[in-house]
Amino acid sequence: MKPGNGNPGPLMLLRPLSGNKRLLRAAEGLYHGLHVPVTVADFMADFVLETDKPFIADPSTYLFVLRPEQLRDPETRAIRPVHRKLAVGFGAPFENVLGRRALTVADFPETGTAADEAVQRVLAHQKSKFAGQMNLPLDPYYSKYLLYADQAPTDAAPPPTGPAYLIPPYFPFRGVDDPWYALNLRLAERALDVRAEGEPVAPTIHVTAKALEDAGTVSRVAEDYRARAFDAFFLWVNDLPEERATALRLRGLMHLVRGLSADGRRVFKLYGGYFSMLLFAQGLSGFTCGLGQGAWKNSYAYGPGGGGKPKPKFYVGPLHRSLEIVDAERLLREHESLRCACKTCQEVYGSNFDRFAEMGGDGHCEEHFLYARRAEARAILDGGVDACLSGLAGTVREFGDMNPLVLVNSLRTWREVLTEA
Amino acid sequence: MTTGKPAPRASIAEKALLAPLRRLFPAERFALRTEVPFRGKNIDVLLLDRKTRRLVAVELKVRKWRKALRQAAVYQLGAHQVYVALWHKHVSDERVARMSSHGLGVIEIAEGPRRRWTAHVVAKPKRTSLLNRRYAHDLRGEFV
Repeated sequence: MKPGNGNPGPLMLLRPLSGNKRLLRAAEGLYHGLHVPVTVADFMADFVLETDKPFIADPSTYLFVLRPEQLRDPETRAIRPVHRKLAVGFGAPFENVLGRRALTVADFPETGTAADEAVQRVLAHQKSKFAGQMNLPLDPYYSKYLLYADQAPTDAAPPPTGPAYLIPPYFPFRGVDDPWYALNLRLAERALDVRAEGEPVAPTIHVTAKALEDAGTVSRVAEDYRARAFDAFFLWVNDLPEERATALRLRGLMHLVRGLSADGRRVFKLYGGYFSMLLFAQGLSGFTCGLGQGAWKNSYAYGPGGGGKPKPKFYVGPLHRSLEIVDAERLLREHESLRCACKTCQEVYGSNFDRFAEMGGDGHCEEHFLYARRAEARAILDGGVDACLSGLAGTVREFGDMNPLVLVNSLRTWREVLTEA
Repeated sequence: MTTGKPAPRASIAEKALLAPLRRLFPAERFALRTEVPFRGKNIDVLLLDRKTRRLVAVELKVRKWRKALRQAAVYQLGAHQVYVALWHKHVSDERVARMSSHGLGVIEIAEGPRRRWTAHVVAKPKRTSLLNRRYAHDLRGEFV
């Protein structure tokens, strides 16, 4: 598929960390928007407003189906303030169960107004957290931010206020027979009724990776969601690192994207990598990711350990994956074809690989990642996905199966899945 | 050295491979450090040749040779020579060739006379252009 004029290609919404602010201010043209949790600190919310980019404020309601201890501070054993604040913002039933138990389906009764009120508060919280931000649409993508256009656009219309889409409460589900599935659909549907006029609503379909193995489940999910008047869809396949996923699951993902986008509505994948970019040709409008990492996420693995600032990783363009800096240095020293000529790489180490470790500081890896992603997006726009798939085949041929240092299995799998398409 | 057939699961501890390795790299000539931090990883055994000041890194693994190869390959950035040391039952011609093709040396550890474990070099490491002089300088600092 070769996108036509004015098509911005696969949209990339970044999930920024507080340490990325300086870089993102300078890299305005290298990403399309932001994906932030509604729990984001106020100073980061201010940053989101400052960027003038479309954004989504993820309500992160899945947190409330986790075991209460996962939301506690490991040292003080108290519920973390960020979760308490979120629960207070959402009100019942979130606030009622916090610290006592996980939410259940029964907490959202089918009769009465409690569920409607909960949905309304979840939507309102997304708006109030970012009050004052213009609603810069993703559909069509606010043309001021046509990243790869040669000329400044002229047709930017003044947008209303708020996030690009409002996201109804959502929870992970294992299949269409899972009671959480029906609840997700019901709450998302209620959001269509309680939203203010003109507010776009896009539900998050938070499905387990295993569910993608079943073709019946995939088509049913696509049909059910498409049958309702949602403005777009967010898709979060739990715990699906694209470079380790099986062909069966990736095929399921592709069919789900195709099904959801069949009538032209936008589909975005939360937490995606290069395979998600290639799904552009199958109907995926865009995806969210961190800077060089965070291309997948397991909602069940939340807290209390982990956290902290992630170690920078170097994105190896031809392999379409991020590696620890020292592992990347080893590969790049040996294989010229894996090297990068982006502005950051030129400035930081150039041809002197003894300086490669400096990529780990000052946001260099993150900046390099943005350039690498732009190159990938341009390749899709200029040459089309088929040419990109040929590129994958070339890398697989070059390194084959016999080199345990250069892992190309994922490239072969992606190509196999998308070529069948 | 065995050929072909998959090796049975061993219950030998990696630490136990250290003593025969020490005999291969005697203390008179080589200073030795274990578990040396290296760019977020740990080198199992790092030796400094007191005469030449060259560094030798050894990745000890009883049986997981692919994992050993991946780890050892990174140490080529910091050490002049890098070996993978494996229990003899898990050494094969094909594996030695694979490791050699990446410039790694291979040490086989086996039970010798009087049930004493011995280590001997099956393949010598090749000279590579992977060394980062800054890293080598830092690693030499471990012996100060």
